Amino acid sequence: MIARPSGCQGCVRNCRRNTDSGIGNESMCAASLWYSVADSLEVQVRAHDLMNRLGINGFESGLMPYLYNLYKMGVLGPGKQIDSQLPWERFGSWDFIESFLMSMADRTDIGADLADGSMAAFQRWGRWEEDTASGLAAWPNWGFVEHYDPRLEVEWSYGSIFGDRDINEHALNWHVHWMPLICAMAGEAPLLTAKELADTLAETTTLGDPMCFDYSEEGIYSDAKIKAVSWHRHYSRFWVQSMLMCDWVWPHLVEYGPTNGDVRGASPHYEPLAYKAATGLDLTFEEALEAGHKIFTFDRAIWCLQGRKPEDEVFTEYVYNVPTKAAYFLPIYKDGEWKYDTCLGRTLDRNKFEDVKKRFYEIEGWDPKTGVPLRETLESMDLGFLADELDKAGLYA
Amino acid sequence: MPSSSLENYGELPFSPVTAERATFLLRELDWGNHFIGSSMNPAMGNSDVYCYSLNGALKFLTQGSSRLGNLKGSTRTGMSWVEPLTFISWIRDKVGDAELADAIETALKEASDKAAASEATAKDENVDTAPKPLDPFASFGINELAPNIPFLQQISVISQCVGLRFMQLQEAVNAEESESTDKSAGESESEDQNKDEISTDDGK
Repeated sequence: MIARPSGCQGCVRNCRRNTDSGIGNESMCAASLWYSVADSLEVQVRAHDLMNRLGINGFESGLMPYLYNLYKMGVLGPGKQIDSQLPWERFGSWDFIESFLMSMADRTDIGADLADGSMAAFQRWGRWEEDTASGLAAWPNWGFVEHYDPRLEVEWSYGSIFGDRDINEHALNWHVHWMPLICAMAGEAPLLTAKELADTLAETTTLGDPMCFDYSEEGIYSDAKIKAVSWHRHYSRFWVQSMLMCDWVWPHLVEYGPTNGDVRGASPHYEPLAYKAATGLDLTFEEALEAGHKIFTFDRAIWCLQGRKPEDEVFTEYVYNVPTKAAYFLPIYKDGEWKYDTCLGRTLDRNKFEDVKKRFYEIEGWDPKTGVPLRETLESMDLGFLADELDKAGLYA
Repeated sequence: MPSSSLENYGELPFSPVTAERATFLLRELDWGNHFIGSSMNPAMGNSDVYCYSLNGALKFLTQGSSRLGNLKGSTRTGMSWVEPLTFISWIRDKVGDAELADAIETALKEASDKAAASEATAKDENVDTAPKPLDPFASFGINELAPNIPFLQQISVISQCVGLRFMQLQEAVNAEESESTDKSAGESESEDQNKDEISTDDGK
């Protein structure tokens, strides 16, 4: 099978793929790796095609290994605690995955439970608490499978838990994690030192503080980090989720191959120019961040009206109790020096995270105890009607 | 899994193996005897990968059955993380393949020694070598077996050893099956011939 990348005109990322057979075309991202355990590449891509045709969520790439582990443990299978008549002994084959996907589409066998989402199924099977505590099921927030490490790369985890689902926004991830990881694996010096990276990000994000990019055991609970999480929510709510700029490219914070030696990316100057070109309107980068804040606060008010409480905004137990065991490079500031660290053996401190939560609410203009957007915050955003709704729901009592 | 013939690889670092032994080494292990690696892929982040067999480990090391990370023309690249010494122990103690474990150790050491020799030569010749990696890069992934080669090269060496061993074991099993099929086909032919003869006799 020969595949070639394809994408938008001029794009360096080319996130889609076409194959010579046509099977698996347009299968992308996590969904393209969903059945990596297949016996062959042909089976893998055929599975993705069927999954896409059936409209089944391909994000949960951890689902198949997890279910197979249950089978190996003797918990799932014919006549087992989780009874399943699917051909588990042929896991990896086409006939297995076809019957599995059809069971979800037809709500038969274990597909009847999984069709309601993996978290609901794990709870129904009585596995949720135990398996998310051990990390066997690494589903850290809102019933979504782990994407990037919630114990370390906290723009991702804090952003998800204070927001919704899994943020799936790679703005900082490429620079703080992938660049040093790839260089380290290849035995090469990093393209930028940890200090150069933190300084560059401080400038191009407009945050102005390199400590926003400190992922040390202290740094992930700092005020500077909370500012970075907040910035990320506001940037992406406006430019990525509302203006629909591609997440793989924007914000463009670092340029690794500059012709003039300047590693600063196109952000924050390009976005307002693109906005002006498309709409004819003037909008500063700062105004866009304020708009992102407004959108995020609007979302927040809705979530509060739906019943969200601070105690809902917690991670599953493995995040607090199971130490990281694979190298995960990130910049840290320690003993007065910047460096990249493997971040091995780390967990998220529950008490410190609870404190971060209060301070994050505060910085967003929400009540630090309840997380409900304050009336003055909403009114300053011309969203007073939302404050009235929150009041009517008794959320200001 | 590699599909090309072993003939392309010259002398194998393994002694001949019986089909019975090959079947044993290729078996699927039970829960508790598995190995956990970490798959690192931009499309899906990091995830634990559970390996229950040599074949499973090979799939993981080469980025899936799929080898999607290595698929020509694909934009999907990924890395497989294992702690080399722990992986070698798993091969030795759980899979039970001491010969493969020894082969990986030897190959890692040889690759590392070769890298050190090249660097020494470059220094002697005053060749301007690449800048030294910064801390903690200098120590990342380094172990006593392979102090002079980066992690990805270690994974590559490990993958090649596992791949060669897998092909050898698979060929041993296939040869046995093929022989067995030929034998039973031969017996069946012979039986048919006897039947024909009997039938002919009856006809007489």
